[in-house]
Amino acid sequence: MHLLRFFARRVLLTIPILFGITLLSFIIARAVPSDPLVANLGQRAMSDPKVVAAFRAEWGLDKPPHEQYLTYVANLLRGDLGMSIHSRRPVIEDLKAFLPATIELAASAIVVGIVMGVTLGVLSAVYRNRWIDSLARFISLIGVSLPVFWLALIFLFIFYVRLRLVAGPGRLDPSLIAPPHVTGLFTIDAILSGQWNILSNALSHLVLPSLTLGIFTAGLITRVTRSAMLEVLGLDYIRTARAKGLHERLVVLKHALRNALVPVVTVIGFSFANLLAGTVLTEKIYAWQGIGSYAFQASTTLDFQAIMGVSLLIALIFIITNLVVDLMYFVLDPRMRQT
Amino acid sequence: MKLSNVLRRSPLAAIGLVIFLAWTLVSIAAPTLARYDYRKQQIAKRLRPPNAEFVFGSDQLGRDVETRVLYAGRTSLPAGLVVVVVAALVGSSIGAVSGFTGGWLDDITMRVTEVFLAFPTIILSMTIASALGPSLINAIVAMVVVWWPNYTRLVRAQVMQVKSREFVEAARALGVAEPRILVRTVIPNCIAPVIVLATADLGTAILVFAGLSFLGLGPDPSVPEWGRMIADGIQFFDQWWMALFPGLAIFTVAMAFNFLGDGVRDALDPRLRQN
Repeated sequence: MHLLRFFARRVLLTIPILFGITLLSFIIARAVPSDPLVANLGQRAMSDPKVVAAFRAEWGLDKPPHEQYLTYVANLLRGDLGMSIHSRRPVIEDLKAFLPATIELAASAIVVGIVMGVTLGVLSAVYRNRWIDSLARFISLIGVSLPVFWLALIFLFIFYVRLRLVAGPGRLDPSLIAPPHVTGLFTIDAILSGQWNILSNALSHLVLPSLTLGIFTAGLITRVTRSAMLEVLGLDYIRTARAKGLHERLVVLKHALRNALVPVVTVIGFSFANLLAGTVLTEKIYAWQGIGSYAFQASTTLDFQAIMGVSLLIALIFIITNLVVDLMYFVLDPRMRQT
Repeated sequence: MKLSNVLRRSPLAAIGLVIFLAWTLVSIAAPTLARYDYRKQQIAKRLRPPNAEFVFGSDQLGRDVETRVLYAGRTSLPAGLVVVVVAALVGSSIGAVSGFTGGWLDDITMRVTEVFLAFPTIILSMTIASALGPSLINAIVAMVVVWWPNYTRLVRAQVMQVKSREFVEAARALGVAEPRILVRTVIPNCIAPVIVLATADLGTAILVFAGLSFLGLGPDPSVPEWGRMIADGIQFFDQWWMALFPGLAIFTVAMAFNFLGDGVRDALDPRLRQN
C-alpha cells in the first residue's frame, strides 16, 4: 500500500517536471540573442524582407514568445512535438528514426559497464589492499580519466585502420541494406529476419563504440561498488555471518553485495541516463546516426522544436530511470519503507 | 583532514598531486618553456611527424604541437576549477537546507534539480553555447548551470541520512535550536562526500570542457585548447601526433584529479580506513 502511494505520488510529480523541461528549453532556445533565422537561412535569403517574413510566419516566430510557448504546449498535449526547421519533418518522426541507434549503443555499453564494473568492484573490495585491488582501482581510475572522444579516435586508429579487426564508423557497411524495420535496433531486427551476415556486421560496428562508452561507465561503477562493498563488509552483521561459519562466498555475494546494491543501482541508473545523452561525442566520431548526432545538429542550428523534442525525450527517459531506481530502493532497503 | 595524511595513506593521491602541480607549473611557465610562438605558422613545415625540430610534430598550419599543448593548460585548468568550485558552493547550500527542512520546499527543490539534471551536460551546454555564441565564458556558464544539482542531491541525501541518527536526536533532546543543529551537527557530517565529489569532479570538468571545445563550442579557435586540437587532428587521421599529444594532456590531468579524489575519499571516510 505504502509502495503504491509512493509510486502514484512520484508519477503525479513527474507532470510538472515535464512542463518545467519544456519551459526551460523554450527559454534557452528563444530568449537568447541568436536567431534561428541566421542558422537556417542563407545570406541572400536574409537580405530579402519577404523571405524573412515568410520564414517567420511559417515557423510562428512572428508571434510574441508567450504565445509561441502556449501554442507549443497545446500541440504537445495532443502529442504533437512540432516540425523541425532543419529537417522539415515532424520532430516525432525524426526522434523515432534516430532513437533506436542510440538505445542499441547505450544498452550494449551499459552491459559492458556493469559486467566489468561490478566484477572489478567486488573483487577490489574483497581482496582489499592486495594487488588485485590496486589493479582494479587503477583500471577504474584510468577508465574515468580518458576523454571519450580521444579514446574513440585511438580505438578507430588501432583496431580499424591499422589492424582491420573490426568494422569502422557507421552502423553497417555501406554495401549492406538495413534489416526490415521492427525495433530499429539493427542487431535485433537482423535476428528477427534471420539475416546472419547483417547481424555479424552490425555487431562488428557496435564493438568499438560500446567499448568506448562501456569503459568509462565501468570506471564509475567499479568505484561505487568498491566503496559500497567496503562499507558493508565492515558492518557487524557481516562479522556475525562469518562468525556463524557461513561460507565466505555466501557472505560476500548474498549478505554484502545485496546491501551494497543501493548506491550501485543509483550509479547504474544515472550512468544509463547519461549514456543516452552522453553519446554526442562518441556518435560524432563513429558517424552513428543516433540521438546524440540529432541533438548536436539541433542545437547548433538553433532548431528549437527539435531541441525541445530531444530534451523532452531524454528527460522522459531520465525520469523513468529515476523512478525505477527509487522503486529499487524500496525493494533493496526495507528501512526506506518506513519513512 | 590533513593533506599529508591523505598523501601518506595513498601513493596514488601523491602521484595525482605531483602531476597536477607539474601541469600547473608548466601552464604558468608555458611562455618560457615553449620553443615557439603558439600562433606561429610555418606552412612549408606543416604536418611534420615528431622530430628534433617539433618534438610533438607540427599541425595542419605548421604550428608546433608541443607549444600549443603547453599553452592549452592555461585555459583548461582554470576553467575546470572555476566550474567545480562555483557549482559545489551553490549546489551544497541548496541541498543542505532542502534536505533538513523537508516537506514542500524539499519537493520543489528536488523537482527543480530533476528538471536541470534532465538536461544532460553536453546537450544543455551545446544549446547555451550555440545560442550565446561559442566562447570560454559561455562554456563555463553552461557547465555551472548543469553542474550544481549534483551537489544539491548529494548533500540532501546525506543530510536526510544524518538527521535521523541518534546524535542528532540527542542534540534535539538537549534543546538545541534547529538551525544550529543543521549547521553545527548535521553539516559537518555531510562535508566529506562533497569534498570527495568535488575533487573527483575536477577530472570530469576537464573532460567535459575539452568535449565542448572538441565540438567547436569552447574558446576561440586561435586559442590553444586540448579538445579543439583533437578535433583538428580528426581530419588528419594519418598524422596521429596531432590528436595523440593533446589527448594525453587531457588524460593525465583528469587522471591526476581522479587519483587525488580517490585518495581524499579514503582518507576522509573513517569507515573505509584500515585498522
